[in-house]
Amino acid sequence: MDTLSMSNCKLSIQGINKQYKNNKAIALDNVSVDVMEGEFLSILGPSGCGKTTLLRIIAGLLQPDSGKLLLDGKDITDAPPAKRSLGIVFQNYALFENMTVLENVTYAAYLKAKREKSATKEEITARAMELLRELGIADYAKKYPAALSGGQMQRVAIARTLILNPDIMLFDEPASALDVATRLQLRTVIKDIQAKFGTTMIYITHDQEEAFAMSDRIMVMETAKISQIGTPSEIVSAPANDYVKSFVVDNLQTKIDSLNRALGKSV
Amino acid sequence: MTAVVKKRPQSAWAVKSLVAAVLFCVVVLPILAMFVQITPGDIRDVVNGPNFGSALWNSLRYTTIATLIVVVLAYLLALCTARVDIKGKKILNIILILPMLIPSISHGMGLLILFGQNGILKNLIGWTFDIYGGTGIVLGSVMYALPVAYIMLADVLRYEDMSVYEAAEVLGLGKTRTFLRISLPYLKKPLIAAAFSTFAMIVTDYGVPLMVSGTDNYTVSTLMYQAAIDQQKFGRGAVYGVILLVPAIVAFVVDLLGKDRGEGSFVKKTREGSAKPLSKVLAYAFCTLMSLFALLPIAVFAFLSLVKRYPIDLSLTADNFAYIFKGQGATYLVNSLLIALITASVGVTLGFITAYLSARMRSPLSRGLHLLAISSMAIPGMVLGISYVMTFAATPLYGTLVILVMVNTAHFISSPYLMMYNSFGKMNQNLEAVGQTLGIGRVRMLLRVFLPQSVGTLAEMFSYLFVNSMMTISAVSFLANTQNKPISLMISQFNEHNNEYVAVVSILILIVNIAVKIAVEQVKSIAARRK
Repeated sequence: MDTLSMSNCKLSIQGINKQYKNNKAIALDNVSVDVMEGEFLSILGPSGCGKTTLLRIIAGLLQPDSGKLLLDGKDITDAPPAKRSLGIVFQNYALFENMTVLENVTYAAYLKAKREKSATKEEITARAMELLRELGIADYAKKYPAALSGGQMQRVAIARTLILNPDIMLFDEPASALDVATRLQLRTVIKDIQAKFGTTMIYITHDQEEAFAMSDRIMVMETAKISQIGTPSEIVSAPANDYVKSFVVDNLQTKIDSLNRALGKSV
Repeated sequence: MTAVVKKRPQSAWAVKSLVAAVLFCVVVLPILAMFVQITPGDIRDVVNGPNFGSALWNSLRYTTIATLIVVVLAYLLALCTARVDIKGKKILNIILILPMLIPSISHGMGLLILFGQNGILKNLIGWTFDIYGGTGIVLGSVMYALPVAYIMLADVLRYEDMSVYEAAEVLGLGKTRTFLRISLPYLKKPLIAAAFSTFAMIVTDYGVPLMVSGTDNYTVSTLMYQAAIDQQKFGRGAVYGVILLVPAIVAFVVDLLGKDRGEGSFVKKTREGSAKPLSKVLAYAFCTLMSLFALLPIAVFAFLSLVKRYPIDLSLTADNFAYIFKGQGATYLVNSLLIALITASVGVTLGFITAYLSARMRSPLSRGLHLLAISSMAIPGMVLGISYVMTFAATPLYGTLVILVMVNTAHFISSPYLMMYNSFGKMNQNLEAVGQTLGIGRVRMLLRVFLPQSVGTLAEMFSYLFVNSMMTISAVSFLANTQNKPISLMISQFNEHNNEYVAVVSILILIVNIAVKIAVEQVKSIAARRK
């Protein structure tokens, strides 16, 4: 391993295996990938391919049977989730419904500041309001999540993780429950955050188009295994096998074809 | 995809084991102790008893008839409120559940007051028929069990997916076929479950038959009451208890098997049917009739409690209340309030913690915990009561309020536990994961996120435990003495010539329970507004 790539590697996932005890199904089979600093990596695959299991292992919510996770070269395989400096955003938001938007964002930061005596409540509130403004939901600070739309709730969930300045942000199909227009807005929000904070992002999706629109690199998965890792252009120009070709490339081609047909172009 | 997290698995295991041990000690252990203490002699005495055969037969036939009537009436009522667009549903729902707020023994007494030898209806319109025996038992049991069955079926009908009916209409299925092929299969399991639990509820009740069975119409429950309370022969009582345990366990298993509809089955469309005018008129007529049926005994109690001496002197007076309070009534009312308050507090806490452990920290141990928590549903109050006597009679607990709180908590814990369990199941499954990644500890998540979101459910649980502790006469009747007696047990100490006092006690219990219900509704609406 040369020193250059080591210095650029944010998270090294090495030989992760995971088998579920209740149904004996193999969820992950020797999965390895290096995620680069500031990179946007999508994990693309159909339901049941193991992508969510991998995300949960990265977050520390699940333990792998074997394999290692290195964050900035440090072994975090056994570290508890809160010590990994990463934030996670779920498809179904998982907001604290009994707290206002502002409280949702400040609560964890406030606890952390109290533990470490690092910031005052006022400073945290100010920082939270700033984040809410950047995400375009400052007007809802005093509202409860039930009063928000799906897109707004997802922004709150993002702000809630951002306030802790995570090194890596994990997204578990964050846009799947949203309508198409909101989904496109959310993409911009997430890309803007990445541009501004340089946060490394790992983004799970089953939507080929979404992965291609957002990612620096895409990791295509088929039942428990990585089929291919590459930039969008690498995957389109040289799909590693028939599965990648049909699941990713052909699917995208179909969308393009139907668009062209609608535009009256010959296919 | 489970949101299970294994931080500090040892401490979770320890807490779960502790809660499981508590549940085991208050629910299962006494029953086991009861079984162990039954001697072959007890069994012989019971089986060879002079009234055993007829009591079995009476229990079986009266309960079967009452159950059929209850299920049919409850289904029709549920249809009216869930499918027909009638006005005044809120009031109707309140009236229909009022009978649930007074002891079963009050219903028995109410029948006597209405139809007995010197009954109000006889004096009023000269209407007389023999209320003693089977007629009275069936009628009283229907009054007392109908609200419970109604609530069960109304809930089922309310959440039936109506888009299936639209599909049937589009496909041109006829009305009969739609009913036979869609409604009935959907309702089959809930109807059977309702029938079995109604049967178990009626057959294990002694309050109604004790009042109206007359001289030679024994049921298993009244024989048990006689053996254990009148003759203090607990071994024999336990044998009757084992007999009563059978239908209760069957109902429990049927209910468990019927639950495979799945919590997550989601309803695309609920709807109130666009009933024809004729069926609307019928629905109004039926609901009015049933409301009268539910209100009649309560109206009679209210009236009797305030008149000097029925039917001789009908002038209004507070003397009846004064009499009750001058005697032991005040003490017993305070006992009841204390028992209900403490039972509700303990039960809510235990139910909340148990539900959290079994619903939000899944592991093989959670399954066991869940089964333990719902197992008390399979144990009739009378059986639990006699098992407590046989287990705790020699301990200092016996004869104290503590043992009454214990037995009530054990008796009523299942339903509130299930309310909380279902509520936890509906909360976002990723909350623990969020807490962990944000560095919010489990206890803090529990207190700051889960608890505040549970206020409405907790209020509902509190109300259930309080109301039932206030009106129960089953388990507590075996454990109460003159010191710790709850007020509901005063009813059986009056005879037919003290109807006014029965009325006063019933009305007192009703007033307290209505007050608690109103308070709980307030809490729930405040909790709902905050969201």
